[in-house]
Amino acid sequence: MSATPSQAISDHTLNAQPSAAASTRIEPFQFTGTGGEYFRIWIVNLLLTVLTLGIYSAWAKVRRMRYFYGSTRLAGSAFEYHGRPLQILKGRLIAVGVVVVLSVLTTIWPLTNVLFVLLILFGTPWIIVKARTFHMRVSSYRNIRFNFRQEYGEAARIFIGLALLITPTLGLIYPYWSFRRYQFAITNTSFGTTPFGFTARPGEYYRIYFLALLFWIPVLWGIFLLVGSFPQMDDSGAETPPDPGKLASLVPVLLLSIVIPYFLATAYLHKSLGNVSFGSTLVGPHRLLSNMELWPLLKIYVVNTLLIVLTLGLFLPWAHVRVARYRLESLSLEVHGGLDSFVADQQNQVAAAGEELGDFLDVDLGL
Amino acid sequence: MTWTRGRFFDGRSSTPHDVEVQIGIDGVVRVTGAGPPRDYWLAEVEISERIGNTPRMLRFPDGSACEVADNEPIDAALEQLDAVSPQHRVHRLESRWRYALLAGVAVVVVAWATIQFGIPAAARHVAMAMPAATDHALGRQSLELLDSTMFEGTELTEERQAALRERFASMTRDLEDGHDYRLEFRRGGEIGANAFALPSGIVVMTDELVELAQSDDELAAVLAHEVGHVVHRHSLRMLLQNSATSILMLALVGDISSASVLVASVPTVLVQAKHSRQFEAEADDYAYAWLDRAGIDRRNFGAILERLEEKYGGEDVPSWLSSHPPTAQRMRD
Repeated sequence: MSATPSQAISDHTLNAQPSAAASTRIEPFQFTGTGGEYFRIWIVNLLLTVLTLGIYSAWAKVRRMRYFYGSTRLAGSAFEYHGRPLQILKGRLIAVGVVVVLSVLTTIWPLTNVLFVLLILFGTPWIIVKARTFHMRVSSYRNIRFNFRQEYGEAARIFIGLALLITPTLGLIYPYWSFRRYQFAITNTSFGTTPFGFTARPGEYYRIYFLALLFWIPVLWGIFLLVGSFPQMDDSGAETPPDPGKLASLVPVLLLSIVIPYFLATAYLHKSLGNVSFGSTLVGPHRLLSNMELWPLLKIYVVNTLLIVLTLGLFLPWAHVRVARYRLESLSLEVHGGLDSFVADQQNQVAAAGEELGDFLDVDLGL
Repeated sequence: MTWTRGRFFDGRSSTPHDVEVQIGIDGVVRVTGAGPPRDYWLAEVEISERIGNTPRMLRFPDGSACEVADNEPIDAALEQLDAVSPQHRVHRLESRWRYALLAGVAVVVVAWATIQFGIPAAARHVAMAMPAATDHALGRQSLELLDSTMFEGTELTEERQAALRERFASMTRDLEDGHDYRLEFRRGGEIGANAFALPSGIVVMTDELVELAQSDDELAAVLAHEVGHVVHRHSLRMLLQNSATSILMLALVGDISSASVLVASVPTVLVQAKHSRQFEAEADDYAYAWLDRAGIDRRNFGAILERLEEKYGGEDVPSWLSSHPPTAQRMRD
């Protein structure tokens, strides 16, 4: 981050704080996108991407992002995405280059596999910080950009230090890790010169993961049943023929004990983590509120999955819009004073390579 | 002249100013309502691309910007001043259902053609350009693995093995493609009468198959089929094709959520079965060509295929899911 004019910060603090007590109102987020409109954008851009052998995908990404940002409104203004296609194309080419070079190297000299793993391990914090910084700096609201403080030390402690402790502690620190990831992502974000705050406690994440674990007990039970009913081999190597009745009775058991808890646990985690994390986010004096509920979210996930499968993927754009609309319309901002006194910050450009590399290697904050 | 309402932001603070935006035929953009009127040349104003009906941003050179909710006046003004951006054509396609549906059909056709013709052709070229060492690397551990999980040692006599190895050697002697052709015998146990080729050139034949055959010519036909798999490098091509197909499907579906993976995997499985049948047909061609050259009756191959089907029964799966073409189709005179 470049030097912030300290004058601007103190001005803002002076303007925002005293009026905070004066008036408090709730500003809901709105989402104006529709599935039909997004479907047309998606399919046309998909065709252009296919016809240009993937080159156009950078332009397609910008159009998709601009559609979702532009459809998100707060207090009468839309959000705006500023990523540039050529910037993203360059990032993608670098990402593809890195992945190809690494995979060729590991094929020719299998020993470099170890190096590869180490490189990914130690590169992860860097990629995450770069990706997040790019993402925030190309986002704006009311012509003021978001920003992200590049804290590599904190990122390394979370994404290497804590991450390596998950297995030895049998996952006991996983909820704490999740808490730290959200805290890292949110407290380093700012809107103009206004930093974000985060008030959640680790205990809230422990409670959420513990309850989610309860949903998974039937899943583990289902897997246990499934393994138990596999054809058994005796010592002679001959196979005991599987009992057809047993196999047939397995289908509903599978469905009940794996699919339903899977959806329940996923919806529960998304809803609870979202509510706690966003609901604990402060933007200067204002507080975000998130009130997603389990059943509506579960219904959206189930209907989306069924229709995506039945339409062989054609329903995807509607599915994206349904999820975005529910999440955003569950979100509101408790405004203390007004939204007019945010101040822009000077900032430098950041390359898109980090974000694209993160996409390719499937490295991200997992928010 | 075009006139519309907008919200002006100076780029320093988040305070909105309700303004009027005029775009004159002289190419001047005038913003009134935020202090004294501001004039900009249209050429220096960056107008964001229209996407659906999301608001447009007019970005001015001094860092200020104006959010305009109504897209029509902006488009009309740009049209009139002949300043429509090239990318606006994409919006025209996106705004009509007719074009969107055509695009959908085109995506399916292009994807189908790529999977059907493009990927197999590319995989053949790439595989044939790769050194035989690749095949050795592919099959390095396969036989050890199969020996430890599935097979028992052979019970055939040394003489029987030697005789068949001699046939096999006569078949592969002249092939100078870098593969180490070798014939191995195993007791098949669970897999019964069977023969298969490892990418490195090792062909494994089970005792059960040797017992099922009524003549060595029948076995030679089967061996020729397996050699065909190695010569045409089917293992490597299958690997290349399957990865390319999966990558393409995932790229089309876009993200890796559980539902998309399911959607992407259904066609992938069907395509893989189809490619497998094509490889079997290619290996059959190789076997028939070899039988002709060796002066052996073609019907030997059909005879053993038929006997295999009699013994183990046809597959219960429909032909479009099967890894092999139907036997009747594979028997040629």
